[in-house]
Amino acid sequence: MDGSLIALVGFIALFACLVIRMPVGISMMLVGTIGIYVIRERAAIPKLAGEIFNEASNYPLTIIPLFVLMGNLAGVSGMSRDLYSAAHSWLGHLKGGLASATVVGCAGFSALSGSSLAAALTMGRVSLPEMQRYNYDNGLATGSIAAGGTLGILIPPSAGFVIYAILTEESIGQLFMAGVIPGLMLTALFVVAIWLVVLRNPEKAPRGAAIVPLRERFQAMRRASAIVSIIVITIGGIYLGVFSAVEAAGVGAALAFVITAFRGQLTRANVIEVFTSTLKSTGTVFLILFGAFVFKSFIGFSGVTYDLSLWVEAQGFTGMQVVLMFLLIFIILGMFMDGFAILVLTVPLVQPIIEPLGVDMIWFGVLMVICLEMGLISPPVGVNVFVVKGIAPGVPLNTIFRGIWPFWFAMLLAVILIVVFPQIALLLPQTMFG
Amino acid sequence: MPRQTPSALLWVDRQLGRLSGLVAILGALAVLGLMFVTLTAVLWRYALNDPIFGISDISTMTLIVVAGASVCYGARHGAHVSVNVIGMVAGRRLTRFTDALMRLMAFGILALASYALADKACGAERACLTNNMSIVHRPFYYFLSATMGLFALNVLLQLVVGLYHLDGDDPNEIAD
Amino acid sequence: EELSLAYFMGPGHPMNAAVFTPFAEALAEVSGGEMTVQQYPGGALNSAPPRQYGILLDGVADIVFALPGYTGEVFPMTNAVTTPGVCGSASECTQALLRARDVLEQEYEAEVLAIWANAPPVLITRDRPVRRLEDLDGMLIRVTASQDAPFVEALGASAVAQPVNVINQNLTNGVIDGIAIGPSGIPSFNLHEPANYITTWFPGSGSAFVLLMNREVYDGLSDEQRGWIDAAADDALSIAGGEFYDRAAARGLQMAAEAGVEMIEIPEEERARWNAAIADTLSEVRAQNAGPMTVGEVMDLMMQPDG
Ligand code: NA
Ligand code: NA
Repeated sequence: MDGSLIALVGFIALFACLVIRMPVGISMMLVGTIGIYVIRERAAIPKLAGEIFNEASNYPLTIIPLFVLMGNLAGVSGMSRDLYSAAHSWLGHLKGGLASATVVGCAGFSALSGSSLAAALTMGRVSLPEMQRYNYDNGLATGSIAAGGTLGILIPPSAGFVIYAILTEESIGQLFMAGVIPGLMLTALFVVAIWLVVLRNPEKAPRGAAIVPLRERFQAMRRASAIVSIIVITIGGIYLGVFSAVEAAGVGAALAFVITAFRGQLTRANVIEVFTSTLKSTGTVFLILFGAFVFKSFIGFSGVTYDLSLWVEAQGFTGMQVVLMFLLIFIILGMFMDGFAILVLTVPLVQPIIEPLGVDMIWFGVLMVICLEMGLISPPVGVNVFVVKGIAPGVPLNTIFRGIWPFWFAMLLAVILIVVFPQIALLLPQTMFG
Repeated sequence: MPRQTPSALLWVDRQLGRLSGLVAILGALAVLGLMFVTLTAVLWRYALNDPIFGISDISTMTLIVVAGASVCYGARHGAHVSVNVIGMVAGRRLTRFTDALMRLMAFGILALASYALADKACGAERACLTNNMSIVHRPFYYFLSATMGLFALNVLLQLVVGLYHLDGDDPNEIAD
Repeated sequence: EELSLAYFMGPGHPMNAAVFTPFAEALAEVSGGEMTVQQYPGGALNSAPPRQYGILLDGVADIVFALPGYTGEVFPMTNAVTTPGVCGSASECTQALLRARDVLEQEYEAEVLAIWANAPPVLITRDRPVRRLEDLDGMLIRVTASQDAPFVEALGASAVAQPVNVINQNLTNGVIDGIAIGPSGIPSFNLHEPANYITTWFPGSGSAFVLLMNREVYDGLSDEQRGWIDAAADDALSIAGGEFYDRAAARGLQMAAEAGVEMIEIPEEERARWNAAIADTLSEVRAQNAGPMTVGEVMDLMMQPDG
């Protein structure tokens, strides 16, 4: 049987496995192993063992547990609450200011955490009661949490960028840097979206918090300085070339550890909470990677990427056309599938097609991650929306999804801006030291 | 009437829970170790201007412990991502069968992975050594094999429990 | 009969044009098209370069390109070619390997189709020019393989191992002071950008590369088919690999010179001082076991001129 045909059957089988709720990593492992067996029987068992071992011992992946640990420590030590309080004291009294503070708090926490779920969960627990206290519209309140949380995979550190880097062999440090300005831009776009919503419908944010005196605002900022220092040291260190991304993760985790201890928060319960949730998040990523690389290996054996790239070449598409087509596919897939799953499923197919067309893979990575963020909040399957639903059990899913749309369009605008002005993503990686 | 899970299955569940608790302790220590190794590497380089030759080999092998432990621990705590589209369009009448099929296949590939990792465990004879410190890979293959095996057993237990509760609610039903 | 050939560089890598494709073409020609090679570039069959040998033994691929230097302990005889003083150019180092080929083949549980080497290292620095032995004192130098480390330490510097894809960044920001690498690595990793000085001689010789074939697959072929393989994989294939690296080395140095990097030649009498500094280490290394022989015996075999 022709390799490309086998690959096609493989993809269909993979979707069948996903439909019956088989975990993404296991589905890819299963279909990948069978696919390799069909093409080259004796390679199946060695590849299954070899790819699992390769990814488990892949040095750059050290970043994942370390940054996850750092984010979790920031949660239990109260550092993430400090961040929200600071944002609250400066923005709370403005129109829709509590929602803006939520988004800004999420952006700050995103600079410590590589996961969108963690960002939505951590900031949501702090900010939702506050917005409900001031009678904010449920849709606006939950929407800002769900959307703000997605910044977790755009603003470094980001598990999404790490996985993208591992799959494409791009530099993790450069991808992290590429996410900084788009992340800040998207934060600003979210704030603008909130402002527009409240402008049209003032009853969605009926009243603001009392104006906080400047002195107290600065006090709040001083309390947040611990978390800000860690952010500056890790991200600044990567930009200036003082640390590699792995080293920054180690230093950041250690600093968070020291601060947590210093604040007397290293209680038995907190330690158990921090490490079990670190293991859970890390396990999520590793199982997906195990499967992804077994599957990627199958795709490699099938030779389908070579056939596809020849086909694309023969059609005479430009790089930009192909990129736009893929982004559209990502946005559609994002409605139904988990972001990591889309990443590991599509990148091995997409990269061999777009790289020869001269597409900058760092730029594409940023665009792809924003599209995946859109998927995190778009119906019917929006993982972040489900997380927010968990914190706000009284709010119907429909209300949350209705509150999402302004943010979804803000993301679309961000994608368009970065497509038109690639420098938004590429400026920092091109000027970083190294 | 919801059926009670038989005590034998509950006993198996407790033992698997105990084992994955041990694995989690090992994994947590490895995460901590990873942090210290990375920190040590940075400090030695900047403070003493004398890097430790090949220290990344230690990170890499520690990472294996983290990876194996976290995948295995995550399995008992719903950490592994699946796509629940079917749960929106079909009810328990269908999903009890698809879940059983899914778990059977998942058990198959996980058991195979466990076997493959034990069977393909290798050392110096196949150049399975770290680049700088020549740490032998074999024991780490065995560790990964054991964690994948434990994962497989958890899925097998869920399969049996699910079949037992075919007419009622599955305690391990995937929820959002 | 179609043989799969796995390597981890992209299909556009010049090594493909220099060795892999010539082998495939020669094989197709001598077999009258009955035996072909299907290439799997870019790590399609294996994403981790050090595992190339493992996937060959497992039969994942029929033929692999591998770097014995990744695991020096497993191929101590082949890696004797990196010892200082063995050879002075990629072609010389390849000749050295070919002289010892019969002995070296015993190290591999596979058929050696070709064995060649790159050019000996140069020392690339950014802030400190290295003209004399004393200049090396306290420098932090990235070496290619662990067996290079003791020599660097003997010269008064510290050796560090780092993945090759981060060395450009690390030289730029001063994480390391220098890189000892074959000059063909200059264009591959844009080392002429952070570099300001290149010391064109540094104690060390070539790193070995091998093209290996799975032994069961080879033994399973008919006599005629094995004859085709042997004809396509004669010494000329290895020699072409060495010549490729000499060209790549010259191009790398030229690129650096054009980028304004200062080239520092080490005169004979200064070289003698460096060699004296590593003499004790060298005799220790020579005495080490390398399979059934000592490193020194393998080196003598490599360095013995043809009769
Ligand atoms: Na982040
Ligand atoms: Na979605």
